[in-house]
Order: sequence, then C-alpha cells, then structure tokens
Amino acid sequence: MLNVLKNKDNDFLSVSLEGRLDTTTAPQLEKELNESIEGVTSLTLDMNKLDYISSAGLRVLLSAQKKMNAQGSMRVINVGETIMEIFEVTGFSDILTIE
Amino acid sequence: MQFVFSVPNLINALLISGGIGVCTLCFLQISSSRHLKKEVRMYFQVFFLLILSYISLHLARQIMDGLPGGAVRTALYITTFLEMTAAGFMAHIMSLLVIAVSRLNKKLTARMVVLTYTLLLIHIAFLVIGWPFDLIYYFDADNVYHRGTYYLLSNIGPILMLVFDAVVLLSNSKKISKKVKIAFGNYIIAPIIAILLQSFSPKIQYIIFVTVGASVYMFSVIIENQNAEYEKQKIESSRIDTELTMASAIQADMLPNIFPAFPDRAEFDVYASMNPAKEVGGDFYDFFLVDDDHLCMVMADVSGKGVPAALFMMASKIILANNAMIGKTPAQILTDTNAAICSNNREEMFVTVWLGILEISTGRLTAANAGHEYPVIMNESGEFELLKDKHGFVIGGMDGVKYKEYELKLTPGSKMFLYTDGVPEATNENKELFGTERMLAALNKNTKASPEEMLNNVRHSVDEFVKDAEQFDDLTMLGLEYKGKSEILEG
Repeated sequence: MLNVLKNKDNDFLSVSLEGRLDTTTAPQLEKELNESIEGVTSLTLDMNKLDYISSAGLRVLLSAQKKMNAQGSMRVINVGETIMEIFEVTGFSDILTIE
Repeated sequence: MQFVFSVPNLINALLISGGIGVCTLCFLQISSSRHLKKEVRMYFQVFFLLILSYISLHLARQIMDGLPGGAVRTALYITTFLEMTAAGFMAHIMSLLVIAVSRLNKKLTARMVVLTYTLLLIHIAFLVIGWPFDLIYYFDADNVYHRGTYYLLSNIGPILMLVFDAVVLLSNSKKISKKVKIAFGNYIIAPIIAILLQSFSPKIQYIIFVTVGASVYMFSVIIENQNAEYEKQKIESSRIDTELTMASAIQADMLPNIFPAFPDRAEFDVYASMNPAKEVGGDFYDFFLVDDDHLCMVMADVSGKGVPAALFMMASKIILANNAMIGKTPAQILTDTNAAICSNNREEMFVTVWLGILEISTGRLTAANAGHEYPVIMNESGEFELLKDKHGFVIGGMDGVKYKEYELKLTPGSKMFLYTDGVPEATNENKELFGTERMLAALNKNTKASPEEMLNNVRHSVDEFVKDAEQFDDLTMLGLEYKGKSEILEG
C-alpha cells in the first residue's frame, strides 16, 4: 500500500511517499504526479517513510525526472538505506538529485 | 373492522397480499444475485422494500379507515403521511436507477442526483405543510379518508420525477438497450393507465397492481441484461486467458531451454531457468555462442510486469542478441541497444541488463552492467560472493548513455550465478525480504554443485523462506561453471 501526501505552493510541489512503491501502487503515484506537475518548477520527493521501490516505481521517478528536466528541477530527499541501494544498483543515483 | 366481503374488496385483498408476496420474493432474489452491479442491486433492494412498506401502509390505512377513536385518528394521519412519503421515495429510487443505467459522466451524474433529491424534498415539504391544514387529505368525524382541496400537490413531486426519468431516458436512449427502455417506459406509463382505470372502477386498487407489475417486469429485464453482460465478460476473459497461456509458451520458447545446452562442449556448463510470477513476465536470460570461442550470457529484468513487460522483453532480447552476434564488445552492445530502444520508447519502459562474453579458450570474461543486480562469482578461496561491479544506467531510461565494461579471469572450476531481483526480493509472510545474504548462503552450502544444482539450491532456499506467501516477482537465474580446456583436448 502507498500513501501519497501532496503539498503544493505555487510553483513548488512536495510529495511525501509512505509504504511500498511497486507494480500495484506505481500507477497511483503516476496519476497523482500527472495531476499536479503542470507548471511546477521545483518538485521534492520525500522518501522518509518509503519501505520499498520496484522497477515499476523507478519508471515513474524517471518519467517525473524527465518532465522536471524540461520545466525546472527535482530533488529526492530522506532516502533510506534500502532505497539508496536500489538507486545505486540501477544507476538511478547518477540521474536523480538525491539529498 | 369495516372489511366487507365484496368483489372489489376481495380483489383488493388479493392484489395486496399478492403484491407483498411477489415483492418479498423479488427482494430475496435480488439480494442473492451476484452478477448485478452493487449500485443497481442496492437500488432494487431499497425499491422493493419501499413497495412492501407502501403496500403495507396502504393495507393498514384501509383496515383502520372508519374505525372510531382518537388513537386510531392519530395512527391514520401518521400512516397516510408515511404512505405518501414512501410513494415519493419509490419515485426517487427509480430516478436514481435511471441515472445509473444511463451511464452519464461523473459531473452530469452528480448534478442529476442533486436534482432528484431536490424533487424528493419538494414532495416531502408539500406533505409536511399539508398535514396540519388538511390540504392534501383529511379524515372526517367518523375517521373516514377524504382527499383534500389540494390533493394534487401530493402528485407534483412523483410526476416531476417521472418526467425527469422520461427526459433522461430519452436523451440517453442510445446507451440503453431496447428491453430496458421498454421496461422503464412501462413503469412511467403504468401509473397513468392505473389512474384512468381507477376513474372507471374507483374501488379497486389498480395502482398497487400496476406498480408491482411494472417493477417486477423491469427487475427481470435488468437482471437478464446484467446476466448477459456477465456472460459476455466471462467469454472475453477466457479468451484472454487462452491468449496469455499461448503468449507464455511463446515467451518460454524464445529462451534457450534445452539442457545440456552444449553437449559437445566440455569447457563449460551453463544452466538457466525462468518462473514468471504471472503468465508472462518481464525477466529473461539468454546465452548463445557468438563464435566457437565466445559464449555470450545475458540476464535482464524489464520494469513492470505482465503483458507490457513481456512485449518489451521480446524486443530487448532480440536487439541485444543481434548486437552481440556481430561481434561487438559488451559495452558496445549495451550502448547500441540503449540507443535503439530510446529511439522509440514513448511508454518510458526500461530494462536492466547484465551482459558478459566469455572467451572459452582463455577464461577471460568481459562484462557490462546496465543497472542490473550484482552478479555472484566464486572467489579464489572457493566461496560465492557478490561482485560489486561498475553500474551504468538502465537501458531505455535515457538517450546517449555510454556503458563501461570490465574484465575478469575465470580459472577452471570458477563458477558464476546471475539472477534478477525476484530472488533477493522474494518476500515471506512477515514481509521480510530473502536478501542477497540468504542467497549467498544457499549457494555456499555446496560449492561443488553443478550449475543446475546451484539453481535448485537457491530455489529450495527461496521456497522454504517464502512458504505460503504468494510468489510476487519472477524467479530467473543462470549458473555457469567454467571448466577450461579439458586435458583430452590439450593432449
């Protein structure tokens, strides 16, 4: 299960993720992001409470990163050890801005 | 008790008791029918309960009518009020049903629902206002029912609701099947006929007869309609099942799956297996001889699952193999495959790939990794461990990525184990992950194992760990044993 907490302030969008981002929940995040990403110049993804991310979840992140490359910037914050390992193995750590 | 044995009274008694019986049966049937849409089922349940209470209230009023006493008088007023309110609710539920079968868009549906509630409130408001002033109905000194001067007020709400139903049905008539239209039409016209009949023979309660009749007919049509839809879906889903089974077989046939794969090659032994979690999966392995001295091995995992992943997997596998067969190095193969996939990838799918080419005569292994799991390799002291190799970005993720390759030297007896994330991410009932530690432990239990035994050891260990939890990801593995040039060949 995945909880998506959105906080939009003009051009700033911050999204907190809680739970598992996998095949079943990735479409939910994709939908939420698509709804709010219009006109956003700064997107922050908070992964503090994210337990797991699968390749389907990575696909959504990649898609968001590509969109934000065109219209602003994207940061990924509070990445835990498990998720960081997945980012490193898949090479996502090279294309995401992780803080 | 004023009940007199007369023909009209007997007919009324039959209509009322028959109506109660039929409506109860319908209620029971609708409650146990599983193929109906939840919404429609609920509306019908409420609808039949309302008819039941309407008839019962009507019956109660008929029985009490003309009996003396203050308490009876109060009961008569309450019963009549409830009876007329129930009639309004019935019309309201019918409007909701009409909206449900018309399949309007969300916004329009919301507006229409608000409109029907408004009409219902208007109806109730008339009844409430009319009560203290005896506007709609009243009981004379003998407690006998009479229509009030403004009796028609009680008909305005239900009639408006019927008009509403007719308008919604007519404006969406293309979306509704003919039979359903007839059923609703029946329901709208029936009360008018009843009122006409009633004016000829006022003593018989035609309204109960037509209401029950029209409702039961509509009910049977809608049930039949929904059953037909359900059957259609069942046929469709069994067609999809057959196609998925075939797709799964085609996919399995694409991978080399006859072992021993190279019976005439004594220098190495390779074994691989794939168990998709769904009928088709996004994992794949591959191995083939590029030439007499070079064995190419691939382990890959497509993002996502099911049919989309399987389609993407087929394309990736073919592009990788084509690039490998013309003698490119692993880094070149990955770079060119990425370029080919990125040129046409609007769905933004990607695939993680580990690809290695073994020079059989020397044991030199050149490999490149595009975001795939760390391979497992047997170290010099004969133990399996993770090889933390250089990682590039996943294939299909970004255009123009360049991959780097690295070299290893395999000596006779060296072994390798490749896998997808389905192995370390196998999850047990407590939501714990199998992890690479357990995987290495399973491999190290028997370091003398052949590639086939290596895979069996890992699978058993995963099965034991996962136990009753459902396999969620594909389990795909490949084992290699390098034996080197055999002595016979050397001699």
